[in-house]
Amino acid sequence: MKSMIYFDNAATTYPKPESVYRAADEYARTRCGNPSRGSHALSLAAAEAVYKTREALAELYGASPENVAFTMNTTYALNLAIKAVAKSGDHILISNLEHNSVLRPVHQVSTRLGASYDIFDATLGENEIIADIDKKRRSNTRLLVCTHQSNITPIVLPIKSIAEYCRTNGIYTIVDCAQSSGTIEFDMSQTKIDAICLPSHKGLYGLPGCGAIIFGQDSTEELKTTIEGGSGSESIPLEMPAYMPDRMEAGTLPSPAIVSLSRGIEFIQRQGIDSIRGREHRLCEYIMTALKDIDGVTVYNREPGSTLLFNCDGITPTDMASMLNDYGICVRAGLHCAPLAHKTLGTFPTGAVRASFGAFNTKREADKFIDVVERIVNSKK
Amino acid sequence: MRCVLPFISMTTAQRGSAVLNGAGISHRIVGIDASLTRRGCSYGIEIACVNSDSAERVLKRARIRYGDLLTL
Repeated sequence: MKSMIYFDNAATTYPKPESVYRAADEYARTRCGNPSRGSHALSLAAAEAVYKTREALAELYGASPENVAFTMNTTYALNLAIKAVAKSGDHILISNLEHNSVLRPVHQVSTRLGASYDIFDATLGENEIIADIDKKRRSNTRLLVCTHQSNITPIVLPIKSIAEYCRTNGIYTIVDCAQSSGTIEFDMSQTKIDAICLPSHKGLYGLPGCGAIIFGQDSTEELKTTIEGGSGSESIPLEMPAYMPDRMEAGTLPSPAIVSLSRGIEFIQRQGIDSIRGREHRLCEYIMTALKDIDGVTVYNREPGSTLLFNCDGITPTDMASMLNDYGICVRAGLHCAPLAHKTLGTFPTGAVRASFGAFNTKREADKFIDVVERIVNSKK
Repeated sequence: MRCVLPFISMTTAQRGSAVLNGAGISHRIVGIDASLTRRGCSYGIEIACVNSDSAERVLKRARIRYGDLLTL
């Protein structure tokens, strides 16, 4: 394969650290029993490997291992969490930067349960965001779901303040950490956030196939289940177990991906979360500055971050991504499953081109990217 | 005779196991016969009966929930 520049890390990070590949391979060959489904050596070895990841995630976010429930990905996690809490007649708040992984389940809940939802503006300053939430809150607002960091713009929501406001007003808070996990650290025990949802395969550098919901320690909501089945415990009652994580973990867990996640977490901890974020932001700033100097390129970022959104005059985003691909550069074009966020940024319905950075990207790659964009833009003049 | 402390889930048993490891109490996670629990499959921690009091003390201190000691 010719040399490739991978700038689609917001979709999934690539490559993974060697330790991640090795761990998944070793686990699949030697310990891949069914965790919590028996007491023979292979099942117990699998359960131990899964528990190590549970502990690592719990430690990373200041939670208890029992409050970490594994899912297939962030979308599953968000669906489980939203549908666990939302009830008929509820009013829900979401931000105007949400991915479809939040928008669609909330819309579905509204349609099916006769709930309703409103959208608050997450592009404002912290106090203004809280004021907008306050303005849109109703007497029956019971749930707020928002992203921590958008998947198309580096805007980071003030989740701590939002969760404090919500707790004061009896609103359950779920945060989508799909983009922030691995680049923004926070301790759930120091916040009023009730649940966060995250993937293995993005900033935590695990393999695809696994996600997680982490519930806050003092979250007291009675959680409804949406997926029922075997949990490996309490098999006689017809209801899922009342306790976590079994209540939310029906069916066999994606244990190879879960095991890979623990190595991914080790990797980001070795590198330093702040250091990875700083590196990505510097790379973004470098490219942003250069692209802004190219006549015919519009950059939508207000500030540098892990993602860079841009368009080129006279070239559709999809064509631009295709031409970049011809040069061995992987970016993602279109609406990025976030039409609501693109409407907010003014890039709907065409969308834009997103370059997104990871721990393995280099300045040399950035230089080549800038050069290729300039070449493509000039060729169309 | 075997002494087993039952737990509501594998995860809680694993948390208990981590705490017992820290206290230097040797043990192992085992399955518990469904007929003993009334609610189906379950997991427990098997310990030497002579260590059962100290194991319970350590688990209580760590606020880990477990059921009544089973002697099998």
